[in-house]
Amino acid sequence: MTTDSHANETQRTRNKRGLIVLIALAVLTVVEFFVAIWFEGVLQLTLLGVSAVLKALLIAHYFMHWRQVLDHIPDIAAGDADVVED
Amino acid sequence: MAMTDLIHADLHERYGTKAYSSLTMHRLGLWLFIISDAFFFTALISSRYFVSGTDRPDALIQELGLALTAVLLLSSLSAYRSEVAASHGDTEGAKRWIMITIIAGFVFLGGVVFEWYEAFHDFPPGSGFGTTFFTLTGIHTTHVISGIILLAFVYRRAAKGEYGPGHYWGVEGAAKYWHFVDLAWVFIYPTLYLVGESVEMGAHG
Repeated sequence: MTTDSHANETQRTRNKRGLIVLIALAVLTVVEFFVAIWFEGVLQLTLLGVSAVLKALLIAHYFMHWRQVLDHIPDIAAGDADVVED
Repeated sequence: MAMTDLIHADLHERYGTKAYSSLTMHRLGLWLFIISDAFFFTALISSRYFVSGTDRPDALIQELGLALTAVLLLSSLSAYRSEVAASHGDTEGAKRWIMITIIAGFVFLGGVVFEWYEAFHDFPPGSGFGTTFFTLTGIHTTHVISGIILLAFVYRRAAKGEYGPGHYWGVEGAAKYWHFVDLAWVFIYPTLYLVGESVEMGAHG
């Protein structure tokens, strides 16, 4: 059985959030494009790196829901976890 | 008290351990795979700077790189929506968004094939930049192809009505994998198309 941390949210609310994340990703992509044109050297590399990391965090947090496993890692890493079939 | 709750309590009492559902372990397993795959991409991306520095050939089609990025970002939204639809029992919506993601994947592949056709003349695989360009885009493309195959399997199962609220790991897992394909491109795109200065490169550049 799938447990869903967003179970109480409506489909519409979650779809809207997805759209907002996509807009943020698009804005960062356009920023990257102009950073490559306007800047050079270490500053360009740094700004492009920061932008890529921000985009990756947005995808990992909102689309991939990394918190679903992040909170359990200490128990699992310590061997204090058993698997129970649903 | 539900049977699973009884088992959880029994395990905790006997061994002092916490019980996790198999779903949590599925998610953990997928994340371990994703992290190990991310290390692979990191090594390939760093090789670009080692082999060809920060220069990039002026023959790169910037508009195409941007368009490929846009297609993958849009496909991430459609993959997300398929998961949301499946979790709310909206089977038709899940099918529709999975199919849109698959189509976006094929559009991306078409763009890569076109880029390769042009790149073979401008910076062939034997050149410095060409080596990293074809390796990075090639490995990423195999991920796109495997993602499309995975999504096609999930679509087939969704069409049979095998997913619903509380039972949609197939859709969730395929969507997560697809998001990773997008996430990898988030780093590949600036590495190949944006970083450094555009210079004229010959066949050995």
